[in-house]
Amino acid sequence: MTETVLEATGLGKRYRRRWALRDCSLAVPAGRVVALVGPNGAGKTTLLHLAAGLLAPTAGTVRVLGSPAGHERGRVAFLAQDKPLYETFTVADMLRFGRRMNPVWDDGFARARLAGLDIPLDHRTGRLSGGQQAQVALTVALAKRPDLLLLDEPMANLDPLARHEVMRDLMAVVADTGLTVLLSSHVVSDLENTCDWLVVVNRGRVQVSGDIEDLLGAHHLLSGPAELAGAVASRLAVVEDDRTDRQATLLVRATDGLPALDPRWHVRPVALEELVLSYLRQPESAALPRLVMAGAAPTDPVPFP
Amino acid sequence: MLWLVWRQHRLPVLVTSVLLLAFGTVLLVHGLRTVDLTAGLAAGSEELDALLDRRFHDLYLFFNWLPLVPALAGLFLGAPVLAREHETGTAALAWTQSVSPRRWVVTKLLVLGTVVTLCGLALGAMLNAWLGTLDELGQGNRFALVPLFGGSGVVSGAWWLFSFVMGVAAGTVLRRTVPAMAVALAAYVVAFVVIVSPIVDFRDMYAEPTRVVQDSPADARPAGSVSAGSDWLDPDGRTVDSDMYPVASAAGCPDEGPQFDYSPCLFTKGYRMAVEFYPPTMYWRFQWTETAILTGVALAVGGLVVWSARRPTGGRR
Repeated sequence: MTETVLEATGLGKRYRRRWALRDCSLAVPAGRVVALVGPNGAGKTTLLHLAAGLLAPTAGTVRVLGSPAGHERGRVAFLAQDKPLYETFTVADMLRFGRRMNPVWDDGFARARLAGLDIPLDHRTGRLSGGQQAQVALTVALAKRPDLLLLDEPMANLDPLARHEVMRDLMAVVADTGLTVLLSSHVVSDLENTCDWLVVVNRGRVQVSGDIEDLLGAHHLLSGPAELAGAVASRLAVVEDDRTDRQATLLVRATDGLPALDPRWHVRPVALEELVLSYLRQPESAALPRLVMAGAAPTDPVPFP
Repeated sequence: MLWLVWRQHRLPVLVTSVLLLAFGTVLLVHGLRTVDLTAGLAAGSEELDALLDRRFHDLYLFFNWLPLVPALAGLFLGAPVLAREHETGTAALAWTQSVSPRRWVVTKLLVLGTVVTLCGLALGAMLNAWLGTLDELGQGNRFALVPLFGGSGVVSGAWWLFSFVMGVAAGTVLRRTVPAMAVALAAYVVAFVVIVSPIVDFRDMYAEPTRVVQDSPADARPAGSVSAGSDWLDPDGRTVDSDMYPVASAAGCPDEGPQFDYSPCLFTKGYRMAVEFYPPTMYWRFQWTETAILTGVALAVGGLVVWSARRPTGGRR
């Protein structure tokens, strides 16, 4: 699958004076489960709202499924952070809402899913538990049979058991249908075993975008004598440089494989959470693939100064 | 979409319908009784006039509240349409379905706007039917009395629609229900005061008044006319002043203070009074003019609401 599901070019959104998202360029291939991570207020929600067509960009463009965001409405489902439902509607009313608002609607799937979760159709949604509300909202989103599912902090306000269930159910649907999922979180451990593409947003900018396996393969943690660190930094892109007087720990990116190093370096692979935290601590570092897009200059990896 | 509009707004629609039905029943029972009581009484007789006057005043006190009724359409049907979606976060749900935000807004405006207008028209028709049982008294009062003019005929529907659209627009801008209700009410009150208040004399622009020059104190205006001013003319036919006291002083009438009625004196001295007024037969012309104005404003504001729905939660700045 090489189709690009989500493509942002120089995308920016300004609220009055403040840029919530700036100069964001990324491309997400179809069939991926994308983890959109970053601290609170980094611009994750803004990016999702732009992709859902709820916001108009201040700068740049965002294309979803080959059309400007907001055009392929039936093929994109969005679940906002607070998982909104009409509180006075019964669960059955919510399904009817989905059926009336979408030409493509899998009612059998929705009913079977809710029955499997023991969620009664005749209850008002406002009286369900937080976990059940999240499941109803997710069911309404999935029953549209979307090609792209945008989830804003789907785990927020859920207890660990409900988190696990929501995530497991979601992955089952992904395995069945091959839809692309873009989900945001500020808890990396939620995403570790489920996502295969990583996008790191920090201070309104996209810092990292790429296949998680490739990213983990390209990054290495080096620890060794501090006096050797300068030589490494001149040859490799250093994401984070943590030095004491004698000891240096470097997170380096070597896309084409690690060159031969002084044997005094101890090299070990990096875990996803470490990788994310290192980038977040170093907002000037970036790991972005070369995107060749009309009207946009290729984005080079920005070397650590 | 129709189902959704009904499901979300059925409560205020049902409450409005029940209240209209109750009000209509009261008018119907009262009106039928009036017809019964007046059967056999000679037209123009004092007995009939007294009876009709009594029948009118049975309910007149309640009619003073009529101008508030369209405001409720803005508060409870208009303001929540968009404000509540923003407030509860369901905007993100409603506007990410296959139905586009613009179609969502257009459908809501059309369906609810039609319902609200029909409610207003129903109220106007019921009131007109009741006023019909009062003969000339009804015809005059529905034109001359502010609450009855706005609550009867076609303009009733226009006021309801206007108020509803103001509520929707306030909700679009403010995105919170209670402030939107307050602004909708304020917009309605401002419009009402501008159109009704004698300070602006807005309704005087609807038509040229009838002008009659009278040379005796007898009122030349038909019952139920709306005054549009009067002027004193001197014996040569020149307009002097609308205020009687200075005219009387200039004419040499004995000074009895500014509150005294000098008209007998002035008429004997050859002065005449030009009165301008709108006779009750102008009722429908005024009704349709005001309906056109209010509907025009409502459509323009409704158009802006639809236009703003391109990007429902924030456009280019």
